[in-house]
Amino acid sequence: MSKQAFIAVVTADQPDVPAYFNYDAVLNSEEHLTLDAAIAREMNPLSLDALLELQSRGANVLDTRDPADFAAAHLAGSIKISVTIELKVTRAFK
Amino acid sequence: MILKQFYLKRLAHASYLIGDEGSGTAVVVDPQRDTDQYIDMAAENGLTITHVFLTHLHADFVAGHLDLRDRVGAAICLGAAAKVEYPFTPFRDGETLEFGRVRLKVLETPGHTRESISIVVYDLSASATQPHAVLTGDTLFIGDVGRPDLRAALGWTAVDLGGMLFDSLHQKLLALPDSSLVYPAHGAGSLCGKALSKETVSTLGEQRRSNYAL
Repeated sequence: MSKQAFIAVVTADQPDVPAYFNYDAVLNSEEHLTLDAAIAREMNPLSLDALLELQSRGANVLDTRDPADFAAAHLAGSIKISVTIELKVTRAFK
Repeated sequence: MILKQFYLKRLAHASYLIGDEGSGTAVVVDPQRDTDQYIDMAAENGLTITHVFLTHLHADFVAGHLDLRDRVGAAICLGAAAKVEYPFTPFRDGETLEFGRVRLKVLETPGHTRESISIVVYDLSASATQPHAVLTGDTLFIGDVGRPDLRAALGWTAVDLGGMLFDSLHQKLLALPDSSLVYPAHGAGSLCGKALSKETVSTLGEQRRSNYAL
């Protein structure tokens, strides 16, 4: 294959570029937070009072535990979205 | 020599640990952001991770190079054309990193991105001249090549980068022997190309015969 033919083939019919691609490429070139630091910054446990207050103002509570744990007991009004369900959805899209 | 592929299906992403038992040294290439598995595997084999390479600045996931630097003190290694905020060791075409019975030789293979590299792996216990494998990043996939249009906004057109990709493939990668194992950074489902195979390893000879873009 000539160089011209190659360029025509590899620049044609490529899938749409997701919006996060540029974001991630920039992040990989920057001094970004490590995973440990990002988790420490973002994963802040809420007290029950704080959670109920946020819920009363319209916040949704996502319960990501196993379905059996959710069935045993959960916060009123929370939405079950367990890791198991997420994996099933992922498979269905393949 | 240890050469282990870590394949993360949800991202269709492959990363690698290359270890030398004699010197107790390991190098990680294109790590996931969650770096526990590399550190665990190194510990299980009595290895210290001294260097972490990115074959390029990935656009489809956040990599764990800073994590390995901060957790185990690994030196970040990139192609010399990379432009980044943090300090790194630049590798120019043909430069090598040798530890114990392992030699890594960097080939600058621009095309998918300007700073893309491929890493030729020699198991010196087997041969100092015949490569064992080549880690091709997003330059050469199994059944496809890396798309050259992603970074076209940064001063290069897709046609410029496509021309570089052609030269990188034909002058650098296809110059390697047919028996060389090909380990890419992505498999089927990745949006970094359009026709990636389900396989996650091949040989250069097989790609020379069957890859539509070669």
